Amino acid sequence: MQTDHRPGIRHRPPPRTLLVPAALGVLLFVLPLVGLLQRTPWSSLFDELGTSSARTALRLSLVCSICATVIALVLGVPLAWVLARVDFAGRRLVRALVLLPMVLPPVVGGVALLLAFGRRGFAGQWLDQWFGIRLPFTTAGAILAETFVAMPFLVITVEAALRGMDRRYEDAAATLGAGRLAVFRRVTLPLIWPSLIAGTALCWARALGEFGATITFAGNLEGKTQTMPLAVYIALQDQPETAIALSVVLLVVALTVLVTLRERWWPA
Amino acid sequence: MVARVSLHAELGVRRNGFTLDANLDATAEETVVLLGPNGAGKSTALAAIAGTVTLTAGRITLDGETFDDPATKTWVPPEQRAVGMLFQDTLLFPHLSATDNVAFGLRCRGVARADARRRAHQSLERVGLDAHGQQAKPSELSGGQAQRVALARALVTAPRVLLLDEPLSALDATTRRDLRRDLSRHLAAFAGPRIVVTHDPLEAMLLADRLVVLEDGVVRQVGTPAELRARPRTRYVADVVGMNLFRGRADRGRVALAGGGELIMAATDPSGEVVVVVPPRAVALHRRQPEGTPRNVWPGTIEHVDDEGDRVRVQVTGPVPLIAEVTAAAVAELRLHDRAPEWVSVKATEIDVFPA
Repeated sequence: MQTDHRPGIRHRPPPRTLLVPAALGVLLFVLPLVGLLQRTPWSSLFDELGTSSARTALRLSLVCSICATVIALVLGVPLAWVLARVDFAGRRLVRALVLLPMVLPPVVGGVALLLAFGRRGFAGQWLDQWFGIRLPFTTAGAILAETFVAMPFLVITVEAALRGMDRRYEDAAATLGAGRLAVFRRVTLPLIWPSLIAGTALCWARALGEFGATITFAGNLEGKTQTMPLAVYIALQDQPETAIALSVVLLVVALTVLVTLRERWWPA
Repeated sequence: MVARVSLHAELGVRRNGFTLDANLDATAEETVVLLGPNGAGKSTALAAIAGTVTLTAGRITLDGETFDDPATKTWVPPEQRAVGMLFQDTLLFPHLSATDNVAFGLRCRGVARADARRRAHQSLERVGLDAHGQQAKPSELSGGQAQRVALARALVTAPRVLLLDEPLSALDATTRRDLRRDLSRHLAAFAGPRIVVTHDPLEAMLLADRLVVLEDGVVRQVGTPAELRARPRTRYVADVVGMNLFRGRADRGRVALAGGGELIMAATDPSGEVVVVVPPRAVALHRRQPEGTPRNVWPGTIEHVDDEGDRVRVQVTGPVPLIAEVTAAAVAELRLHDRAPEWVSVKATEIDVFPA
């Protein structure tokens, strides 16, 4: 009776034709990490991070990525709400546009930003003439580039949470006398809180690591637009120790974000 | 005296291929039970009154104030309607404690935090939740406790109408019985119209002053439980409300019925105040006094014979008035007709007895 042994199929060793490529795949991720950690100057790590150019890059990165995340929250949460709750013509198109930066090569995003917000760009000219604001090659420009690339991560996470939540909680709140803003603040937001945190963390991590759009649109000016990833790239030429130290910082941040999201992204 | 109609709802809702077209009136003095099978439109009717669903046609007014009238483009948002609503799955906010759930509505109305919590405590005490439960999150409460919190949450804002959507369906039998008793007390004490949606006929019978039967989005029958039981107009009504229901007092296997007469149960418990359900199919009619097992036997007179085609409902008077359901063949065999004397028997094992 061979069919009686069917549950035992699970205990057979997996086929080698799958195991070998799987193991190679893991190596592909592990080897670069080993390379980085093995060359890390652990004893002088904090000295490397203490150099003025490294400190400037660290501070600038922190300021830019936090500003970008705040802007993404202020604009992205309402946007996610509209995408999730308002039925309007062209909603799918708007959602596709919002998510485009996730798949667009960042350097293309940078070129597009430059053409729109650059000194010759239609929006840039308007900003310059009316408000005297110039974005290219400024810290504000770096923030704009990071927001452009990172905000979709927040929008997509929050929108999914809004779609997934039981809207009858909002109905119950309304029958209890809560107006629409009160419902959003006191019921909707607390219910999607874990997703909001996850989306914010993802958005911030993406902003912190932004390279292509920033260097294309905002340039590489130390103290103004040279964020950590740019500093790593530049330092690798003649100060590899600094580059490695900054890379380790970015790696630790990435790991921290991953741990923060573990409940959501790798449950059990 | 003609009771003033307090809630008046002509409900026309069309969405996703479903059409609700039903009129529903309720005075401040009554509990109206909306009874119907799943998908009949009961919850949609409540949602329209609460304002979470908009009418496509019709009109909803409460004491002359129009809530929804598509013809004049009048619509009052749910937060301004002052309705209290209870849901089958409670919908307590999972991030708030029981007390804060109850205080929610008061806080939305601008009541200060301390005052709101104090009134929430009082309201929770009235529904019988202890201090420990008041601090618990909804996930830490039992189903019955959670529904009590939901009731307190709905009542504390002093709503003008109370809407209950399958309030007991998610509970186990014992909890349901306890809560049903408390619920009917709270419903009776409430100073406005009460509308209860249910698909449970026993619940409907016990809570209703008036029943509205909804099938496929249309009202099929309206009346008191007694009226519906005596003259069910549809198959569904006959099936779910066409049962014999008595209140009485049980003692050592015998139930003294409130309206006179006595029934013998198959078991010795429960005892005390009970509700007795006798399915019409469990009632047998005989031309002569039957012998053998049935212990509930008495002579009766046929009051009315209602031919429904493949089955016949017979109203019998006697010490215990009953409705019997027999086959058309039995009618012919027994030569049943109005005013005919008969013997009635009920098998003790087919009687359902619940503590009231």
